[in-house]
Amino acid sequence: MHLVRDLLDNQVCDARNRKMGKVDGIVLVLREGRPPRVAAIELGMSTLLCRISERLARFAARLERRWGISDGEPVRIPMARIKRVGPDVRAEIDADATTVYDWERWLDRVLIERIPIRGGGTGEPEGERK
Amino acid sequence: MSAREVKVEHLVGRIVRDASGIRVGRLCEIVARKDGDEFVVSGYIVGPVAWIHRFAVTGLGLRMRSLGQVYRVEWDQMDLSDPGQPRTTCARDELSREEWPRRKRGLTRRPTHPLA
Amino acid sequence: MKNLLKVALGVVTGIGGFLDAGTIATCAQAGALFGFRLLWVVALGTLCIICLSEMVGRLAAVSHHTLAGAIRERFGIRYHAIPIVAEVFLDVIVLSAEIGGVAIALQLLTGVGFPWWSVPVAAGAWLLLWRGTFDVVEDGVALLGLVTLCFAVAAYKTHPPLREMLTGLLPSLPPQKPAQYWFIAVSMMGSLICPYVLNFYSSGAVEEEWTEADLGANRMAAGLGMSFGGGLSAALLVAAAMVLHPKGIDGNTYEEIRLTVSIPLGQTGATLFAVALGVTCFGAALQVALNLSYTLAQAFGWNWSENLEPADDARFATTYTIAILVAAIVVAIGFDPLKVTMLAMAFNAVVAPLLVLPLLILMNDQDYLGAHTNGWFSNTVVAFCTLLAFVMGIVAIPLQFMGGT
Repeated sequence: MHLVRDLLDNQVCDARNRKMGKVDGIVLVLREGRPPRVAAIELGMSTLLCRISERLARFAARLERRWGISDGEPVRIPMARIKRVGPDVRAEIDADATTVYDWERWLDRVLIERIPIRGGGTGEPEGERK
Repeated sequence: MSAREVKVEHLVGRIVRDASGIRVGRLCEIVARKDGDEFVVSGYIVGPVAWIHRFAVTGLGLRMRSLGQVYRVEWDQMDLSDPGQPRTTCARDELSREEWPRRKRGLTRRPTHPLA
Repeated sequence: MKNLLKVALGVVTGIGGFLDAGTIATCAQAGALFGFRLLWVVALGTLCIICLSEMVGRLAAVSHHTLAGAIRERFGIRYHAIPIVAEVFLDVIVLSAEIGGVAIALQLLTGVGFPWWSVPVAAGAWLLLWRGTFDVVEDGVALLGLVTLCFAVAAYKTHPPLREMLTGLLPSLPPQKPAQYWFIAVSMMGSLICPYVLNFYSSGAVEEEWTEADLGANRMAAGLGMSFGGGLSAALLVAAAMVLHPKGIDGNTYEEIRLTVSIPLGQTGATLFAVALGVTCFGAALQVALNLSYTLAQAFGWNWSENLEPADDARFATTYTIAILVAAIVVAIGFDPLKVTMLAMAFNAVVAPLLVLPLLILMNDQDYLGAHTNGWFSNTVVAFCTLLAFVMGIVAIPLQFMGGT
């Protein structure tokens, strides 16, 4: 497996095939005398922005904490919970048990639920990948 | 045994130098393999320009010869004690060379790798 | 039979959804200022968008990736951050131009100044996205866009000389005002090869669950639909060349552009023009707002679909809500929608290469396309489009100052 080609920046879906985000980072654990272990993937705005600018990442994390959206820490999924790597990365995990939807929940609370008009939709997301 | 964390996204693109300080290239890719229950790094691909391979496609003839020549650095040949300045533990000439991206014969689709 | 219906719908929506504020403004000004001389730009731009649309449709059908999702995955965030930022900026400007176009259309129909219409129009667009599904948004509005056939009728009524029209299909140098000529040409290309169209088309293909079995339908819908749409653009240019050019009217306002239809067709034509402008701009506004949400959601891996309830994809819904709000403010302030449109089209030209180059690479990647990668012809066309878009991008901004109206 090539970590940049096959894992980094790929879409991550949970056990219920819901989108969790993209693989924004990959964590290696260095060990003396043994090959580095691919420990986990990371999802989160701070990890993503760190790849562009560390200052921007720190600012975004501060903003998330100040507005009470999240604790600003990325979500780490251990490689042991990754079941499949390909066009999508399938994680054996429930997304609701993580903080990936913190922004969704916050926007629901401060904006969506306050709009008196109920949103429409069939409830079915776009076509799933094979 | 000491353990320290390093982020792949911060390693990729870094200049890699050999044991004498001679520039080898930029880290383009990290190759991993399954070892029992865990995934471990088997090697690193170091090329002249880190990002060019993301823009290279065999069918378009973008495989400019000098840019396609990369070094393959085995896991035990790479010293990541300072992740900002990765170094090989041997001389550049001792590293194995290969061509990237590999020419594909026949049709390929990115396979789905079951990891379990 | 199902495939035939799909093709028919694709063709119809291609016709009805092709025109927007940008194509109307640029084609009308081209005809007004230079007669038939810029018809070749319409032909070239239409050919380009046919090829590009077919490609992004093929990418979506085979790989089940949208363009934005594939770019993030294939090229990484460090590259993708640049087109994302550019596209956010561009989409908001284009959205302002489209909402402004609808507001102007209502001004033409009612006499009430366009800034007053910005909030109702924006609210209507937002409500349709909030409550509607993808089919309603794309197909419903595009079907209404068939009213733009009035441009073809108007052009026909002016009895344009066929020989001069055919001469206009060949590239030529302008006899005078070269800066203005090339600026209009660049803006026309920008209006025809809109970056937002590419990702929106691929997102729509994924929303509608296209597969490899739909490739034939995709080819026909892109080819026929866009051809007819390009034909309508050409018709508007011809009508402007026959009506405005001889009178020395520059087409600097929508009131002047309206004459291209009202003179051949009378008062009915004036009404039809306003309706056509309003409907096409409204449809385009929905597409641009959705495209902004699609782009960010696919780049960052959020839940996304127009078919989901907003509560299930809050970030997606919030994005288009904020975009529409900002665009409404721009129009309410009173910026001239036509000037905003011309600026937006020039920026289209600057941003286009950032998307067309990665598309060129993706369309040759077997990991995504398998057996359906580009052949030499498609590669040549896209390479040409990329080069053209790149040149356009470099010259657009200086020309904006030298030749912009």
